[in-house]
Amino acid sequence: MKLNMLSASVLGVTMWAALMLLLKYPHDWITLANAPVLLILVSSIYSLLLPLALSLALSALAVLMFNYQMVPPVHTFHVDLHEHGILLITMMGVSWLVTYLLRRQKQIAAREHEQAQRTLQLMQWSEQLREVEDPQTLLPQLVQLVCALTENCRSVVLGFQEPELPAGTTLNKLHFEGFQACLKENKALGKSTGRYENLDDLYLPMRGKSKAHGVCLCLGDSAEFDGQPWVRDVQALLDQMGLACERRENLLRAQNARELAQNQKTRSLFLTSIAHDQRTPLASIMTSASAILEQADQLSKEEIRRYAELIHDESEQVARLTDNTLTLARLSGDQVQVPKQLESVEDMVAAVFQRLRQRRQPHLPTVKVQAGLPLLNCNMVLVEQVLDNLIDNAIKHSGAPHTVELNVTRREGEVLFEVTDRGKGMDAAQIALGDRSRGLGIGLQLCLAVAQIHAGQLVFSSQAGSGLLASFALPVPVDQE
Amino acid sequence: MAIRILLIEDDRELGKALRNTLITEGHSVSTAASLSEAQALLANQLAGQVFDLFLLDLGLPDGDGRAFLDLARRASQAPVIVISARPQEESKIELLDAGADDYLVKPFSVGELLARIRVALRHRGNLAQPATLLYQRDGLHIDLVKREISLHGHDVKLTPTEYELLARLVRSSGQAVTHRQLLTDVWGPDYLEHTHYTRLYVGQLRAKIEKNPADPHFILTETGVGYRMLSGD
Repeated sequence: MKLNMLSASVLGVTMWAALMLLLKYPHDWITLANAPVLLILVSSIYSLLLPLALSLALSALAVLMFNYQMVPPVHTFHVDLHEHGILLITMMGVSWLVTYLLRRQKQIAAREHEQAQRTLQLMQWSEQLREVEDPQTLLPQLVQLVCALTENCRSVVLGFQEPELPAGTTLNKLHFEGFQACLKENKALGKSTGRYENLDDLYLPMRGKSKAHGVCLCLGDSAEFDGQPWVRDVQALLDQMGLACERRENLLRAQNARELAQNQKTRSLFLTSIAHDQRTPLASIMTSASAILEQADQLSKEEIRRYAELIHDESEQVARLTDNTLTLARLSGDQVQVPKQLESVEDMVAAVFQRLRQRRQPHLPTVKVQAGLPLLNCNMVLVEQVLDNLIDNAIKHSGAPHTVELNVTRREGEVLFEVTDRGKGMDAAQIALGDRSRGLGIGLQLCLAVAQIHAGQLVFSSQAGSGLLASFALPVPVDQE
Repeated sequence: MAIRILLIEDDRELGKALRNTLITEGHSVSTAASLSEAQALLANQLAGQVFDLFLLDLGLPDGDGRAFLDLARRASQAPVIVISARPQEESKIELLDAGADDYLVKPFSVGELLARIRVALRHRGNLAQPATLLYQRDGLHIDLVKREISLHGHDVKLTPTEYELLARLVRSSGQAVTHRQLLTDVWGPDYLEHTHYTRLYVGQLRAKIEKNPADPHFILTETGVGYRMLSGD
């Protein structure tokens, strides 16, 4: 750029010198009539290349030289004829006017070019901010852009909540206070802003709609910032950042609100499920117990026994629901740690059968366990609870309690526990909802949670009328393959 | 036979119900609702009127059941049966390993409770005498003196480790034995980390003596705790 300016000046001065030589040693074909036009042409060309004052001065010298060499009486500065005087004055005027107009045109063009550059930069910046998820990560780019724009600044420090100091820069207490004040008030302050004029530095906020999201601190030297166009450009960049931060904040807030609402919905669904699942057995218990209490005189021993049995069985149902609820609540906590050990499939199936026998379940499922199954890395208490829930559900709700089967087989990379019945089945909608009329409310949620914890899978498949297949798969540990 | 039971249970309703049940069975029952109360009763038991059995609930308001177990073990030979609720699974195993005789998980039936009491008393009663070395149930015949095992009259061949494991379970038949106890007694204390041994060897044992290993009638699974050999006839 500097080299260009230098060569342009040399070229300009050379042209002027050539003009002067031409005037000093005129040929025959240079006359009083065409020399002025030539002079004006040449002077208008070098005025494009040279600074304004120099151009004007050189033009004046050229006119003087013309007067000295060509206007009679030649080789004097005297002018005898009026018409020659008018010619000289006109030449001088036209030459100066052309020089001035061309300069001005050039300046306007340069300013427009610069303005277009700034606008383009601002658009690119805004595009960059829009594309990034967290605008605050673009701070280094913003620092670069601002540094390129600022004039008369020792250095520039930016930050969101606190100034982020580049290596080697230190700030005093006043700087920190100014930073916080600017952040709080969301207005520019410091030198040439009309607010805290006594400060040496300039504080520009990253303005959002309601508050500032950060501050740019321009450490000044002695010069004034007042009315400098770069201040306006920097402020525009900062405001883009402020608005982007605000958009991001709003987005996060909306997301949090949605999550909170979702959590509340889940919790109330959970509570409703528990209440619903417990109401049925509690009603039976209440009725049976009150019958014994209030009608003991009319009831036979056998009838009392039957009521007691009902109370017993239904209490066990409530106990199971409570177990499920407790376990599920424990599994839903943050950072659940479930202790796992290598367990044998036979042990787990045996434990479920013991439970069923203890409950005096009249219909025990048919069980088939493939021989030579590997040990599984799992939490036995939880897996047993899943199998118990699936079998209990099939016995109680399939409408065909004697058809329930448990088959355990090995499939590629996993062991598959399949509970089937040949009862009434469930349609797709019931499966999706975990239909509560089949007692699958909390129980189903628990089973799904346990499957997830073990990186396993629980899938139901059924066609109405042809029974239900629940298949629960657990992965085989690598060292047991 | 009437026995003296100390029932340590802080839930008033459950305590009352259990007390009534045990009294109906002809036992004499003292109740304590807290650890300190139980400790006081234990310290002041009269000669000739010592407790024959302790029922210890884990969820006590003023302390850990472990503290009472240690005290009972020092002061008395009487068995301790632990009563636990679901969230206390781990401490239940800890107490079994520390010398408690058996456990029950709430809610439990009266039948279960009485059966556990009978088994616990039988084992403690045998302590002074030579242990019963003969086990018989549903066609399974085990003679620990002659090291003979037969099922429906046919000899069952066991490896030495399988035999040790079965013998350990038979000696505590009717009671839960933890994985830890089995590993220590059969393989040795160095094998405590090898928790899968018990699963594998019990599987082999079941394959040899059970009709359907997945629905066993001799060696039952105690979920998360260990195994229980059903009492012999």
